[in-house]
Amino acid sequence: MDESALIIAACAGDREAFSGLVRLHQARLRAQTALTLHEQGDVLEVVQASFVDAWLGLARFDPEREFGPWLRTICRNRTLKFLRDRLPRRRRELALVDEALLAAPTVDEAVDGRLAALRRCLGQLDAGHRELLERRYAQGAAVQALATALGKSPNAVSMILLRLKGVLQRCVAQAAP
Amino acid sequence: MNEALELAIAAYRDGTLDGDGALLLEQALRGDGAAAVRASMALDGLIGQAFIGDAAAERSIAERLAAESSASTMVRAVQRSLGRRRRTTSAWPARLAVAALLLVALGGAWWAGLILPAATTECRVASGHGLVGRGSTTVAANAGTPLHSGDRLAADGPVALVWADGSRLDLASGAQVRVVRPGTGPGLLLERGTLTAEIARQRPGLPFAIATAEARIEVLGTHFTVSAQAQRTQVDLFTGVVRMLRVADGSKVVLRGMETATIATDVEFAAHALSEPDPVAGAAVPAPPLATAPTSDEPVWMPLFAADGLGEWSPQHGAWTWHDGTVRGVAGVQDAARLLGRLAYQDVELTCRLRVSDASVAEIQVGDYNWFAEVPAHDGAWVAVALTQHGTDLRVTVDGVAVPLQAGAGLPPRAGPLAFYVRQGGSLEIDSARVRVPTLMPR
Repeated sequence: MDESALIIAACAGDREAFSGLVRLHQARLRAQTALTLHEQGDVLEVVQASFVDAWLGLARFDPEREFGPWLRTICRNRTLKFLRDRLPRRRRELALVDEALLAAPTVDEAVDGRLAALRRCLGQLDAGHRELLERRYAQGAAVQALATALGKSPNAVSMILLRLKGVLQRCVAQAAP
Repeated sequence: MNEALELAIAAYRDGTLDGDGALLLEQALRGDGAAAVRASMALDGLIGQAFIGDAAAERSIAERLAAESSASTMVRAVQRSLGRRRRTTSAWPARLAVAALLLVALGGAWWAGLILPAATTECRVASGHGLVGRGSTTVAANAGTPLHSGDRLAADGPVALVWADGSRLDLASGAQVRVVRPGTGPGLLLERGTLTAEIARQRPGLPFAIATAEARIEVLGTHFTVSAQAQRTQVDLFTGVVRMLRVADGSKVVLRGMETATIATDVEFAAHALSEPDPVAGAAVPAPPLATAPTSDEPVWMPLFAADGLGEWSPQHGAWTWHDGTVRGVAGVQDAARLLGRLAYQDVELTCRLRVSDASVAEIQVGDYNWFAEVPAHDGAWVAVALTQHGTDLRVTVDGVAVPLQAGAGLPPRAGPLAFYVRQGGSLEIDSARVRVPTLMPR
């Protein structure tokens, strides 16, 4: 079933069809949200909530229009609400940066291509470096904790991460310009 | 992008960003460096997502959808059914029916495996780092890390833990705690080291409890320090009332403000006057204590702002000034202005006069942005505002007219500070502000 058929069926209340739309759009939505939110749990929370909003709001969706942009708008609003809602609970220094992010939210239309390219680039790294990146960015380990675990100084770990990010940035730019 | 910015981004991610780093990052985000900073932050986020399989993400979304849609479908069906009968049926049975069916729906979804049973989050790390032992694994704990029942946390430097009601424990470097409930209410076991506690007002019969090998300290809402060393536990109480129980023989001592007691073999277990507050060196500097109630039976009105200015308040955004009892906040062209209190309230009454200029509304936020009320500008005129939060009842009036409440976090009432907020370009003046809180009843 193509996307337009899935949309029509989902609008008629077909849960399986909506699951098909989830499969088509979740990666891009996660990637879009990860541009602004960096904790994995936060990203998943926002993306899950966005799909729930979309499912509950299908009655308002015009099947003649594109589903992706509508869904991404829901998700963008959810992301901004998440940032705004947590502001009062944030330390002042973190809230200052959050407000700056809120003032001009990131929009990246080519984000799904970049995610695929990034996966390929990660596959080219050696296993140790890949594991370090996974612990840092997927599992949320702090630099200090990584430094303790690796027996290195926090500065040394920061420099390794910085170098690896540089490598990935160049690799992704070449793969998905 | 330069190294300092990258380090600031890393610190932002870890929740350890300091003032200089925040300023650097904020200026970059609002200036020429914005694209580079955003690209670096985006790469961090994308790397994290690259390690998550699509199937796992799809499954988590499907589970959430199944849980939410089964419950909401059930509620809508019941509401339609009740709507047809509304003229002949009283509201309470109807509400009970909705609640019962909702519970059945959620229970059914759980039974069917659609909702995964989640570990109970007892508290979260507010700042600092440590290692958490969870079952057979050890994970890093940073700002935001949830702690579940049974977790053991070893503080690597000062660590602050916060509970949903605003209670906060500051662990000194090297302290080790286990997240278990020593009593009927929330709390934990201090296995070694020192912590300083600010405990929100607790419900009767459910005191916040901190246990050590020798003692259990039951707290009803107060500010104190516990130090656990080998076979010796000392409590220094600054405000409020706590009951300290000696595990060995069950004997109890009640401590009141500025008293101390020690459980050790060579010391009499009794309350003694504490000459001056002296939090243990190495502990995080504790924030000012919770707002405790006056000791008389009748609550009294107190000025919301101290006579010497904004010492009890944090101007988070915008420029805030105090002059002769009147507070004024001015928002920037791009930034809102927000003044956040440092005292946490549960039940509270507030009256004040507000004047909003160059903005359509200002906000009074309650319980750390749990709920807020919009106060409309009246052509630059002063308006009288009254706010009351008693238990689950929260009301705000402007010039005697009730205004609707808006959800921030939207949770049930909880202890937290008040805040004032005005949007970009606006200004807000606060005058004649006073509060009163109900009497705290020691057990």
